[in-house]
Amino acid sequence: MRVIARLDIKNENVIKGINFEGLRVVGNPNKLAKKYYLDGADELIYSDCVASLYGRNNLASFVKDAVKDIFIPITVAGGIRSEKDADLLMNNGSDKLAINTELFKNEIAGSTLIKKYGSQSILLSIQAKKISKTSWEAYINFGRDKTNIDVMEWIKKMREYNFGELLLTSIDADGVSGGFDVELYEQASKITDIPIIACGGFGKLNHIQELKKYAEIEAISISKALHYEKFNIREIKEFIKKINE
Amino acid sequence: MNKKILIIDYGLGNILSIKNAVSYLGYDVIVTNKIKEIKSASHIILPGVGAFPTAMKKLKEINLMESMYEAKERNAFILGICLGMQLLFTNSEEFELTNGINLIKGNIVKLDKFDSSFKSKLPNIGWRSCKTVLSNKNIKILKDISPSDKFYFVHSYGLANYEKKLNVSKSIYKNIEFPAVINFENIYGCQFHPEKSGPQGLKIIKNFLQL
Repeated sequence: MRVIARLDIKNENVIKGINFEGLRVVGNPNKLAKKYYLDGADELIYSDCVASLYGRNNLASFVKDAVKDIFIPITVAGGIRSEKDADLLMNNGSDKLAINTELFKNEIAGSTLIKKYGSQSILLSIQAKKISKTSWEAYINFGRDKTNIDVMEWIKKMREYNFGELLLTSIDADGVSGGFDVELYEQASKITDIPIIACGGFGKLNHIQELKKYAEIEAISISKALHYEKFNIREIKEFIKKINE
Repeated sequence: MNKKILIIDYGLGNILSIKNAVSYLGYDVIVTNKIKEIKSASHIILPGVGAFPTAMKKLKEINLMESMYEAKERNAFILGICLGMQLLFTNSEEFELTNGINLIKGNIVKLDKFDSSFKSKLPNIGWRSCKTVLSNKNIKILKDISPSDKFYFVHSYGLANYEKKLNVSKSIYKNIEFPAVINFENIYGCQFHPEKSGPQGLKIIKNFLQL
């Protein structure tokens, strides 16, 4: 299981909130990124939290700077609407792009990019809000707006486009540090055979063990627990190694 | 002889990261698609992300094929990365059977064909080590790499049906073994992304540049 450090970025800063709200500044993106790289992160996710809302992604210059001395894969999410947006990010050093909001306006937006950059570079991003124990609604614009679309139906619908990975974020678990939404990942892993990145909820090492019981998950994405130095990536990776043995 | 390190830019893949890695290691590097430049390069890096047929089409558009044969003839050092490694071989079945550059004989096939019982997810994404097998003792770019060092893979296809004279170090994904690093004479290839594999990946690039 890979450990991915996620940086939610608003304007010039990494921010973090609870359930995508009450956002607080936690630091400089590339300083944190460098630290996580040196600590042994498998990958980084740069997410522009206000990009979809304002209709632009601000991260190309951050990424360009980061890849000068960070040599692990970088995924960029947030506000990628066109091939032009994608080109700008990819030409500045991004390895992968994660797409959510635009797909609800233009269903084939992902497949256009997949044709150009290959499946492995384009991720399906979904922000899921729990409705009941077995159903979730897909949200857009960094968890701000409803779509009235069921997450599992959406995953099934997106299967034909051959995304390389599924970045599945639980809005309810985000920033709470109370564990992953295991039912979400259990359900999702049953209906898709692309690798899943579980995002939102990590607060204790045992949360990983719990998640593993319910679903085959290829990667976890962590932000708050790293930003507030509750855990170091190295110890999280050691723990995963231990439970895999 | 002075080194002339060159990255072939054919409009696909994350070239910036490889360029940054080479610069980070203290070497000058040229990123180009100009045949004239390639003809005088001592170290040629062929990157690649995306689909095999698209890549071959682009390589043909810039008339790269001939300069690659010529580079092999004059014993320039060549490093293919990920798709760039696959392109060095005879052909690939990705989407449709497409001929490669064919500097080395071998076929690129989907990983699920390596073993009929393979049922896992593709692409193979993640960090895996290179298994030390007898034949990799001569692979110079693996100098100082330990069997526990891990590298970042993201691919659905791998090299099969290659000749015995090829030096190969393999990696394991679920129940299959596939070539992770290959070497024949001055030609090298990595199925993983050394430029995305942290300090141990940089070590491989450094080993190549020191050849």
